[in-house]
Amino acid sequence: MEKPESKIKLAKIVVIVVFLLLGARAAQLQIIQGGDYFRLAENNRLSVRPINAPRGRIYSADEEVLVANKLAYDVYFQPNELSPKLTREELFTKLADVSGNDKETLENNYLNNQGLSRPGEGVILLRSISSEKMIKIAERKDQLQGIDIRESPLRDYVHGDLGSHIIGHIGEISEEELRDFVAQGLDYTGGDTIGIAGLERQYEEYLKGQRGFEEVEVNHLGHKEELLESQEPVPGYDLKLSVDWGLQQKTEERLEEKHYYLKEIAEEDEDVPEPGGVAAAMMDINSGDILAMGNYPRFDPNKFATGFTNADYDELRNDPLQPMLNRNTMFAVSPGSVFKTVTGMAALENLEVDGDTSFFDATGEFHIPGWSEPFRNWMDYGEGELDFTRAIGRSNNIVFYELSYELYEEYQGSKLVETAREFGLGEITGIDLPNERAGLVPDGQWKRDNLGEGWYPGDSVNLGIGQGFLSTTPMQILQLTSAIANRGQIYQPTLVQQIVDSDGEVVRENNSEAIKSLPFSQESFEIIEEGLLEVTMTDYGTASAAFSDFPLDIAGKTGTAQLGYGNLSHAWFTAYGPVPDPEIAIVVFIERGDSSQHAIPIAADLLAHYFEVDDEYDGPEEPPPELEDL
Amino acid sequence: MHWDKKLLKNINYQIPLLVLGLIIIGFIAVSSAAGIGPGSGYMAYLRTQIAAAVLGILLLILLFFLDYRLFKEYDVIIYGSIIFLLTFLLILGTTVAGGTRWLSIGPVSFQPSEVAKIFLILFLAAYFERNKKQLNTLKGLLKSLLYVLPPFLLIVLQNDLGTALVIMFIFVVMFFMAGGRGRDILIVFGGAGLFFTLLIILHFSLGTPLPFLQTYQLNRLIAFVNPGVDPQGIGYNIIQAQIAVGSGMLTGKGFMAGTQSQLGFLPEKHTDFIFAVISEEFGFMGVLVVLVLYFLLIWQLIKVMVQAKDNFGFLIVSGVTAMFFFHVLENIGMTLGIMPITGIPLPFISYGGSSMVTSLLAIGLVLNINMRRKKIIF
Repeated sequence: MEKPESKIKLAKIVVIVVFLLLGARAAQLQIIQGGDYFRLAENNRLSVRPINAPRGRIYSADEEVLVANKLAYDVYFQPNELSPKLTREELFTKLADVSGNDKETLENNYLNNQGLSRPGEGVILLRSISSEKMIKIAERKDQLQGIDIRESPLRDYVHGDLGSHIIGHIGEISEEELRDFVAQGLDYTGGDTIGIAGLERQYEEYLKGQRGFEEVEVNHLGHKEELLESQEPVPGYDLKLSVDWGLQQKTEERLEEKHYYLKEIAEEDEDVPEPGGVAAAMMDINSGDILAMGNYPRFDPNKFATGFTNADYDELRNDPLQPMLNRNTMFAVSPGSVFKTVTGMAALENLEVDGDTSFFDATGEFHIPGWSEPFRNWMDYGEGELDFTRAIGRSNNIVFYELSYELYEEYQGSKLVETAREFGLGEITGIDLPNERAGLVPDGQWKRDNLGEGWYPGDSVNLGIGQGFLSTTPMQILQLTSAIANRGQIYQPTLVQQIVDSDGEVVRENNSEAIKSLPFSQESFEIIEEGLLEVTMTDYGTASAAFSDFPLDIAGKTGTAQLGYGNLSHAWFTAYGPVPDPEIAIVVFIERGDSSQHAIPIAADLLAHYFEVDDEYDGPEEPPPELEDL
Repeated sequence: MHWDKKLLKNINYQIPLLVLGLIIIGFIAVSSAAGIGPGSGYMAYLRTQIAAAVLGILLLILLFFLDYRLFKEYDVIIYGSIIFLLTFLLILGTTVAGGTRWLSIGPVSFQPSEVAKIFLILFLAAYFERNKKQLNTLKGLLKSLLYVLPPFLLIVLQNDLGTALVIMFIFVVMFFMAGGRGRDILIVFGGAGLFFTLLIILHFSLGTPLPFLQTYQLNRLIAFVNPGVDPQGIGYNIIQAQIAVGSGMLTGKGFMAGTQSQLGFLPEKHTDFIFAVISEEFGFMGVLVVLVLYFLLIWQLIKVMVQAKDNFGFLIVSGVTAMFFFHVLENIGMTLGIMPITGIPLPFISYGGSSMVTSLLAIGLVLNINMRRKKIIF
């Protein structure tokens, strides 16, 4: 018989094409998009309930709880547990009725957070709801199949804004960071809270704890079939600080007071500038333990824990006083005359100078040979004959100009820079807080690289009184003062003394060993100390007004660092005591504080508080509004 | 009767072997779909499936003794019984899930529309053979359509649109192979297609009634075009089937370990969506094996068709080939999301006695024609 050859050929072609198409489509679904579909299948099947670990608590040295956790509730949507009878929209409408949130919020939260969770984890809709709301939702559990309430520890900063710059704050992990951390193999998911600043950030890995979970297999009706796996969360480790809470509170109060006092006089007297932020810190000179570290203005970390409104956050960020800035560690400016201890040490170690070496300030001006412009003292007349220690006591610029010029002449500027760096200036102190600033000890190389010009004798002379391009943080000054007090031991300042796990076992302990020993002679330290005692203990010392009646011997140094524009100055004061057996050092810094005289009373008060001599001491008087640049 | 043992020597043994392979895959897939575990009753499913296969194979062997040319003489009786069965079903049948497809005789229930497909192939082969001179005109096509429309409409009335489409596809292929012109087919079926498209568009824009489609059938079409339109509702089956298939990836999740099928996310998993179970549990490898087996089977059927001794045999095999081809294309295509959902089974693999027996009978017919392709040499 005859067969329709061409029709059969056509049939064969159609069959081949159809089978190739089916094969190609299967390959597309299973190989190319297989991973995505696998994820969808896992999402269908798994309900993973992460159980957040409570973050570790933070205690002060005197066992005061500074940061703890409150119980709060988060609301999740578990898509695979949605009843087949309801759509997502219907469920959200019901939830909105019960919770009082509007449906759009729920829908938006769902859309925003959808991509952030791992398969089966559900999508967070509402964070930290009140227990009343939680009860309302829980009561209607049957109608809200697919809505899941999870306990979630909420960070509780017990003392509000006190100590906020030490403690820092937490916040929601950013997408960028999440990607980074997940790539590093760390256990984070979208919506997690993470330490953002302060100790919360520095000790994130210890505070975080280990999330637990419960993994349940769910069938197509949203009913739980089987508990597949579960793991209890491990609470984060607790931090025990070296900070004494009483002293910390006193510090914060005193700084706040001072800020408002300066603001007040600035309003009354137009020659007095508006003050900026105020900072102070105290350190154990034999261990580097930070006993108190205060700032004003401060911020309330609780606001970060409960979730900021955008407006609130912008207000905080855009505040010109930068309330989030810890000026103790994150702010580097010229130290002014507090740097004279360094210049003094360089002179004692490298020039033919001792405590009795005599100098003569005839006019209150210093001339570099060949330069017409004079360098001035803070007094506009000559002080006459001064010996080395009195020059420190009087903070006489002329003597220190002369010493730095001599150092420049003999060592081409290198010795003073070296000495400053020996003391740790120009590099971070290594305190256990994030984003510490290193400041700058300028040298010829730096000046050529950054300003394109050479190092002049004038640069050395300016450096000698802590001006010019030199910048330091208050923490560096505290470390420096402490090293003078303990005769040359550099300690790394630390806030955290112990890290303790939930069973009370000490996981890590701070060792209080010096990281460096300074190569200066005992005699030099003693001469510097003599000078620093003249600052406070003699009737001519620059800090004598506050300290002459002080029941203990305190060594200190004032500093008024000119900004070089607008007649503005930062106020510095640093001190240690009691001589001859010093225990602690202190630094006080007032941004645009006008004169060191404003910083001194704070230090006197805090030292009196620390040594418990408040009773024997009337306290310093506030200095008059207008002051010389000491 | 022309029977001789020597006829068996002529049989293309690849066909029974391929069919056996598919049936065994079916046993595995149905066991998994029914689910192991206390009370799941998978043994009952497997037992029914094995019984149907055994019955089908017995009938297939029995069919060997009957020369297929005999059917040419009984075309009127065959056609009459198709119409009788389908009408009888409409009056007395059991309605399951919106479709009236089952007829119960004592403890046994079967789907007459399955049997109708075979009878229709035999009838059309006889009809086209007798009228082959008049097929190459539009009139010839329309006249032939008059014979296929009654069973087609009866099956549509049972809400079994899938099988109705199978019948129409068989008709088109057989008509074409018997000598019909592609042009005429395009005019008539293209016109019908346009007409229905227009009806559907009018339905959506003006709300005119749709006489042929049930709501759920319309929904299936909507969902096919856009499965995301209602993922919990009408798009659910399509989405879940695709998730099942895709999540099998290259090597599958393993026998009985497909989460989509075992936890009930996959609908109709032991019947219409059995291919999704295979895809999920055995991955792309499993899919390739099944596709290759079907392809080889259809290729061998075409070979038998070409070798057929007479036009009647040639047309029967072309009808059977068209039937299997359309079942495979539509069933696997819908599982893979490239065809709209219509509930027609995957031959030899889907759970269901009527489909299994009918498919084996169809293979029996093909083998019958195959072994009688030569003059017997004594």
